[in-house]
Amino acid sequence: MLVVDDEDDIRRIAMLALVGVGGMEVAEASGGAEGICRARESRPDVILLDMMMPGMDGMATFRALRGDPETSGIPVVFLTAKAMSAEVDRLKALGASGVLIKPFDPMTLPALLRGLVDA
Amino acid sequence: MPPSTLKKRIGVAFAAGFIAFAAAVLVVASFAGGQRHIVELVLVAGALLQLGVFLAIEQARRRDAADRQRAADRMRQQLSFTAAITDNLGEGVYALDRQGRLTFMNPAAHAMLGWTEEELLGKSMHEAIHFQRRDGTSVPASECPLIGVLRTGERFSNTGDCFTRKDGTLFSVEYVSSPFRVDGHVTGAVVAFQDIADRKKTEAELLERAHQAVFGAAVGAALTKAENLPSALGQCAEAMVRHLGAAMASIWTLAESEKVLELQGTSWARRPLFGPQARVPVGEFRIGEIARDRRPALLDLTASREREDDKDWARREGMVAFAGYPLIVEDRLVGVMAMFATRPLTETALHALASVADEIALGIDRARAAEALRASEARTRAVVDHLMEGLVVVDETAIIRAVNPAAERIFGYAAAELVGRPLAVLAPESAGPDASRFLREALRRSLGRITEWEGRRKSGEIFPFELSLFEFRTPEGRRFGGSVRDVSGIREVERLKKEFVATVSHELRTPLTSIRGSLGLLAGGVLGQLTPEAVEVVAVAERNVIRLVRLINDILDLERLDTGRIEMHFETLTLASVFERSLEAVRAFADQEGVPLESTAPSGLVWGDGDRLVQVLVNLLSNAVKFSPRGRGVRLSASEAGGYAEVRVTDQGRGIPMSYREAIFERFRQVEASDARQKGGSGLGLAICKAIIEQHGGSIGVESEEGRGSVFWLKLPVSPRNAPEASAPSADSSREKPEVLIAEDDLALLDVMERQLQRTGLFVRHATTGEQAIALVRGRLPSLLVLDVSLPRGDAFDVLAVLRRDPLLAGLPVLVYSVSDLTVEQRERLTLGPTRFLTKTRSTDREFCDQVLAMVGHPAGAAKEP
Repeated sequence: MLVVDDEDDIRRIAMLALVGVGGMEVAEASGGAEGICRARESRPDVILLDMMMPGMDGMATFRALRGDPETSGIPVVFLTAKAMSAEVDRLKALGASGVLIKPFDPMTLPALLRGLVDA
Repeated sequence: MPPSTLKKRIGVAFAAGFIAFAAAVLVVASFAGGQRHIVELVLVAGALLQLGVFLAIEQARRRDAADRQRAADRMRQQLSFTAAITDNLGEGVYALDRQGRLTFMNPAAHAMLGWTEEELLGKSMHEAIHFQRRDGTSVPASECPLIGVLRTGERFSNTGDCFTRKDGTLFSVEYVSSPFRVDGHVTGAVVAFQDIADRKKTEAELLERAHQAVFGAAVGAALTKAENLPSALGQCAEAMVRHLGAAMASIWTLAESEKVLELQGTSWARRPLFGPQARVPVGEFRIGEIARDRRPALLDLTASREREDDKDWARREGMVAFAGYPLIVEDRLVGVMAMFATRPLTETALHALASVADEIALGIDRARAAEALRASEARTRAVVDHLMEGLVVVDETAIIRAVNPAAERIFGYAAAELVGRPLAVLAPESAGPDASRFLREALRRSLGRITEWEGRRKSGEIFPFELSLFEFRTPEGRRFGGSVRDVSGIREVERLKKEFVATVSHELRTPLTSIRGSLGLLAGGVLGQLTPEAVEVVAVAERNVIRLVRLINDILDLERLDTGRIEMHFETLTLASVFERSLEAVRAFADQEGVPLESTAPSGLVWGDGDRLVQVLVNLLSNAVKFSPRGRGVRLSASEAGGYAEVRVTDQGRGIPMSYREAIFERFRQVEASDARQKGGSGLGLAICKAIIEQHGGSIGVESEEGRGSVFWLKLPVSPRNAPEASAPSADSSREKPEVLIAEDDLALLDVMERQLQRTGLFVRHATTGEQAIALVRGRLPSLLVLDVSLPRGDAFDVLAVLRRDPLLAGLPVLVYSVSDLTVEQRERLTLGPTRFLTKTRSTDREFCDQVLAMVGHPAGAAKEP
């Protein structure tokens, strides 16, 4: 499991939820470029990717991951503050495995991610 | 004396008579009007004639027969000549013998006296015509100066004595009585007289006419040369004093209220009788009475019937007469002119006033009209100068003729830089240099409507503005006025608003995500077991964070619904699926609250956005559950009538007071403020439901009985594909573009709309009558019907009434646009499928296009692309 988000607090919450509640092994990255490196290193089962990040944003990161044969097969779940259904549809159309809208419930996050990846 | 000498003397005498007569006639001709001279000359001539005649008779006795015969012929000639003169004289002439008896009278004397020559011949003229004075006392023959002439032999003339006519009436005369002598002895007298009553009248009339002419000229000069109306009327009043003999004069004008007369011009500038702002109510005082009755007045102020106060005033001021005249233009009273005099006034004064009344009235009217025009111009100018919107006036060749300060501000030019230049300077260079073409295009698109254009400021900046054009005529030709509203600010605000909404959405959610996550982890016991109190406090915090998130969501939602930027995906839905999803979403909450949910499985199809309809029903159901006591059920049901599916959510809760039934659909309104806190919710739920249902062309409302529960209902248009054979007239599936049918009879407007929609990638057909629209819809169902309210051969109401009866067509989305706002009742009658309304004059082209695109789904169906 890899969490990519520039917000330390949100990353921490996600980590706590995934590790504490879901008992998962989790790597983290605070930006797009770092996320790509971590993804190559740790080969996670799922990447939780924030859309709005300074510098390399979620979309650019996603494209880079897809463009790299080593990471192109890893399911990506987007984390976004845009609650519009069109946005959700658009991301899914681009190949996202799932879209999580902020704020999310940390207690159900592990189950949700597992469900998305298994499906 | 030899006959030849005698003949010579007779010849000389006759020659003298002839010359005298010729002279008399000449003098008569040259002194016409100087009548006294005529009388005298005639008398002299007459005397000479007489003398000639006597000489001739005397001579005749002594000459031979032949001579006598010749003399007699000449005399006859001479007598008839004399008669011709006396007969044709305007003056009365008669002759008396030594005893004062009539021997001759001319026709003029007969005409004046009434007596004929025959009646009085040989009778005493004194007894016939000169026996009494004007006062009736008699005049003895011994005192008669006319007869006295016979005694004294002295010529006598008099003016002002009077003669009596045959009918007994008297008349004033001027006369001259001259004796004539034979051989030094007075043998008789000739009296010439003239009726001077007529002459006096004529003289007076002439004088009056002269005065009137001068008066009229003075008034005319005053009216044309004076600087303003009060000064003109003051000069007119002064003319009344100078030329009509008034002691004081005034001119009053009718005030705008038509209830009072205001003093405008007076002759007493140096001696004010009234204040400068004197007013007289119509109907009061003499001035007011003249205004009310519209009749002239001529009054003797000393007469007993005059009011006492007036008499006092008149006596004190020495006024004895009053004359007043109404001033009327085309049956409209505009004022009154009046004058007082210290000597009696006659009808003459009224005639004089009458002669100038029209001119003064017209002068007042013209001055008033000019004043009104100036005031109107000043008003218009003030409005135009202070308008926020720019005004640009161009002529037919697209040359700028005028701009207002707002237009100067908007475009950044001074008026002087624009006037006289072609309109193209205000358009982007891309519009081309042909200003006339630009104007034609503008007229085609913008006459009487608001359209959006790009303009160019002096700085070169291109900016958006809204334009509405109007046409007017001036003496110089047709003009087009453009009302220009700079919308660059508004567009910028719109952009910022969108940005703001996105920012708020992100910036608020990010911290909320951390808070919510932390609380969730705490409450979930991930970080160790909490005390029961801590669990409770964390639960409160978590609940409220969730509420805050919902509030943010609702605000964003409503903002998008308001601006029409919400994505609606219309399709044919089974009502059953909508019910199922809604109930599913609420079930857990209902169970938790102990409120059973009931529903009857509905049949039928509706035309709508499934997710949005579920959102609405979930909201209504949750509310119903929230406000229901434990154990009392909430029921969801549906029925269909008149092209609408009606969905009802019935609860047995406490009900909604009458006064809140409208308000609950407004933003942040709940029946009680405390409800929001107790029951959660943003207070926006029903407002969002209402907005969504209205986007569907439906309606929403509530019926309630306090204490016994409420029924929230919503009406949705049923889908046109409700019937199994619906596929037959439905849109051709092979066509890629959504089809829009425009029904509009204004061809210019139709053309504009067609182009606009075609540009957005839509397939457009059109109808110009109601009948044609119905036929085209039946032939092939469009995605949207754009319908003008007023159409020939079947207006929008008729068209929709027909379409509504056809179950295949009843769900057709319709965009109705009208010149003016429609009433709720009209809107209801104009609703078919999802129906929206646009008011032509208040909608821009852009809004029109956006609306059409929203109703057919985005152009080229982007969302539906595979």
